[in-house]
Amino acid sequence: MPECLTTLGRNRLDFERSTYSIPAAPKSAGRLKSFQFPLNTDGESCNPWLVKSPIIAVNRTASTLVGFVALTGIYFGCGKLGLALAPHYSSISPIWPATGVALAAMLIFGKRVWPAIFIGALLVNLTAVSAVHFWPKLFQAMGIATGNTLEALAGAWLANRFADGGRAFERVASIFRYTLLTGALATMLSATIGTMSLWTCGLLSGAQFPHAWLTWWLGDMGGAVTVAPLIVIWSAHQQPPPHWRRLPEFVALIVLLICALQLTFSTSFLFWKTSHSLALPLIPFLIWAGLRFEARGAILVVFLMSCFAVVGTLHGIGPFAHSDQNTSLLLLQNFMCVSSVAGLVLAAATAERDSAETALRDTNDQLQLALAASRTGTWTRELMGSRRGQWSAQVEAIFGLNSGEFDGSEEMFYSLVHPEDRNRVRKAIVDTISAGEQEVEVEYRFLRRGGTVGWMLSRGRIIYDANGKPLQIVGVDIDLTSRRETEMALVKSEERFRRLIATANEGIWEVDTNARTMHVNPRMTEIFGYTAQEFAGCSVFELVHPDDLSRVKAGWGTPMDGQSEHSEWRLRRKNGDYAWIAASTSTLRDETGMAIGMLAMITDITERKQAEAHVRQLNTELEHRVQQRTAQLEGINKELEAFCYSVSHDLRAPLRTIRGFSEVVLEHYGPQLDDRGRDFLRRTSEAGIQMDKLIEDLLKLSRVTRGEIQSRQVNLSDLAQIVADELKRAEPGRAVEIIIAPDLVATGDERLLRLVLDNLLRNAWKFTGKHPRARIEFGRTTDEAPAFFVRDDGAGFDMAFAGKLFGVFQRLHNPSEFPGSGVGLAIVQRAINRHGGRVWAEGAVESGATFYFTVPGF
Amino acid sequence: MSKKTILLVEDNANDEFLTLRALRKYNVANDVVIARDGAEALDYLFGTGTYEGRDVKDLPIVVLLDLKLPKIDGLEVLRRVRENENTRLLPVVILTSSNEERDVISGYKLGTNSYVQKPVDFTAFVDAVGQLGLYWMMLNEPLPQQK
Repeated sequence: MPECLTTLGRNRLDFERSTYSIPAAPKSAGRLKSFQFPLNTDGESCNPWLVKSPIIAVNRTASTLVGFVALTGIYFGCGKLGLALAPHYSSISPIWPATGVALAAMLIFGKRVWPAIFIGALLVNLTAVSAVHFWPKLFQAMGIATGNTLEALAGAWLANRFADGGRAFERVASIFRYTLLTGALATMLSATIGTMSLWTCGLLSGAQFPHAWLTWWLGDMGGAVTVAPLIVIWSAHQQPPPHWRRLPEFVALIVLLICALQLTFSTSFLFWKTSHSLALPLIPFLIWAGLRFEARGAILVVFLMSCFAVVGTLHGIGPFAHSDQNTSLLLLQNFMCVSSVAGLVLAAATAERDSAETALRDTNDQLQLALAASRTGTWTRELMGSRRGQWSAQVEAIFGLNSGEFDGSEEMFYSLVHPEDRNRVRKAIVDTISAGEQEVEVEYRFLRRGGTVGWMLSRGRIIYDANGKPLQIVGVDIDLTSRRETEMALVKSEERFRRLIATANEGIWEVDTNARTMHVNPRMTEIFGYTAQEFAGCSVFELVHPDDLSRVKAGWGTPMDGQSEHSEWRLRRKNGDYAWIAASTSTLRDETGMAIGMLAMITDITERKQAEAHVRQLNTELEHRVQQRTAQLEGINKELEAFCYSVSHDLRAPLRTIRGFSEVVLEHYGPQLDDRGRDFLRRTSEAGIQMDKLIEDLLKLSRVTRGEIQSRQVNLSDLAQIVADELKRAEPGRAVEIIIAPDLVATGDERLLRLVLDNLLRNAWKFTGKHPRARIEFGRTTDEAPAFFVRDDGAGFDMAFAGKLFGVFQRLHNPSEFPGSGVGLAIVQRAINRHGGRVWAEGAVESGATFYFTVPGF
Repeated sequence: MSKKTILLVEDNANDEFLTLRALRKYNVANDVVIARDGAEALDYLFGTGTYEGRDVKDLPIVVLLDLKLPKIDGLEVLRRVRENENTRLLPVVILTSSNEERDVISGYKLGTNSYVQKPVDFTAFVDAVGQLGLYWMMLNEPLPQQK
């Protein structure tokens, strides 16, 4: 049976879909609607069935056929059962479950199942044991089958039209309509057509007719009100979930019921067979099921009762057993109908009550939620007698009290109201009452636990008695604190911004989408000299310098949200001057996000611009001067070079002559001269040598000044080591310890740095010459700004003359003590100066000297 | 085969005297031709001017060339000597007072065979010039005369 239902249900849906895919006229659509599967008014819920169906892939026609055959078979079976119970007429039974099957099938699957019912009914009657010939029998069977089919069609139509169709058993009103229209009215069709058919065929006499009709009618009605609800209710797939906690109770109900039924309809126990009141003990079970187990439980109990009662009554046992079996069955039928209707009504009423209660509870929950969410609570206060008040937990929560902490007294309420507002609250209530008005509304501050202040809005309604005496006030408290705080914060922030705009050092210019002034701050009037009135309605573009206008217009209105555009341009002051301004513009938007204009922050940068221009001019002048100087210097350099070249060539030749010819004289005429003459010539010759050295050193010095510096990393320690090695090689006899700190590196010109170290180390070597042992050190200081140094423990110098050390030809020692031209340190100083470094010396007579120099990295 | 001659290009009479004396001391003053400026030196080498008709194939064994010269200076003389096909390979020694770097570099760039600074000290001068003469006259194997 379930499979058959599934199959039919599925096909029904398929049919529906194919129908809906065709655009149909409203009328035909309405007609099609009656096809809808009654239990699934919401088409969606059918889908699970479809998906779960195991035979979904089976050929549709075949499954439809199987469904039809199954329904026909069931109808046929039920019909045969009914006829088997028919005591008087072979075709009329007081027990006729087939009607119930037919109606249920119509309600579940729609009227298209009618052929199955018709064929089923036809077969039942054709196969009935009868003495008549075939043709009259066929005619009679056709008539009865037609009656049965029409009965089912009409019953289902009435149920669908007036009693919610498949949901007829969920509401009390529809149960009554179903019982009356389908159960009582529609079944008359079958009874009338059926008995007429029998009568026409002569199988029924006129005298038998009324009784036969009544039996038929009651039998069908029994099927309609007991079997049809059973099938419809239990086959509804959209059932409420079973209450598993009630399962033991349900089992107890069924066990007790079966016991009671056993007692009522068993032979051995009861001897007052025919007392109808014996059925009354069954009623409590019906009530029990109806109250506790909904329609499903109630109809199940009715079904069980019916089964036992039918079997018992057929055996002549039980309260309905009568001497005439037909009468017994009619009585039984009567009982079953009443039980069924009563059970269903009870269940429906209970369900309706339950759902109403649930709905009420839901509504209340929603209300509480809404109150909590809106920080709203309810309260009442008696205005006569006790004057006690009652607060909802919400009100207590707003006041910061625990639930139930409010003692109901007026004193406690007023103690929570801010002292400054207490009288106002009291007065508001008193005034309303004295004016005889109902509504009172007052806003006040209240003190929370912990001392913080909150804002409350109380609305109350005063209830008066018939004499106009106030009885009670009922109202709500709304917590306004957060709204108030937001408002105050907003006011504060607005105030802050207003002050900011008014006192800002920048001009603030609000303009509309046409760049026309909407508002300017005082600073704007200061910068430009126009009054706020003169600014009003004036366009930005009217004031922009003509040269800047196209640029400003191009950049206007481009900034995206949250960004600002910075630009610098000129604006005309009232006195006609142009002010240079730096403007930072951003888009102004209204609440809907529509651009309503621009906000420009204006800074007067005229002075800066002037200063910039001045600096530019100075720079130009400076550059010009530098060029001039450079040209001069280049000239001087060229002259110097020419001079040096000339010195190098021309000054030496005479020296060579002096020297050469002195020697020649000495050689040739030496013997003719006396000692003095020879001495004079020798002095002349030596002076020439001395002058040649001076010239050579001067040229070296000038070379230091000339030439490009080629800067790179130079390892000074390595250079110092080379010089030290040379010195030791030249005078291997001297005991001089030369200590060179490793890996001292500087960035500079290697040639010049080599000269520096060469001169300093040779200097140190020279001035330690008078000491038997000496120590020379090259290293770097560990100061914050480290300097290289060359230290010796030689003759040293008097610090009073330190300033002379680095001058050209300046010597602190007599040439007879220490030879030299006095150019070496001058070379050192020039070389270091060319690197941007510094050179200085420390020393004392006979305590050595230290020469420091720095080489800032290039 | 012609005599081994030295061409001394020197404008300073004192230096000329001292040079010749130094060469004589080393016995290499066989045949010294003196040119008192650059133009005269070139005339001698190329057979022009006052030396019109001289056999230009008869080249000195070495030219001792001063740099600072009237008319045409030493470096220019050197340049022209190196340009001339006949004197291209002629040994030229620069003998001058200057040891300016740029002179030394220019001299070598133009193809001098040696660069010698005249020392102021006479002894040193005599040694330098004498050894120079000795080297070129006695030790150095001259380029075969081109016919």
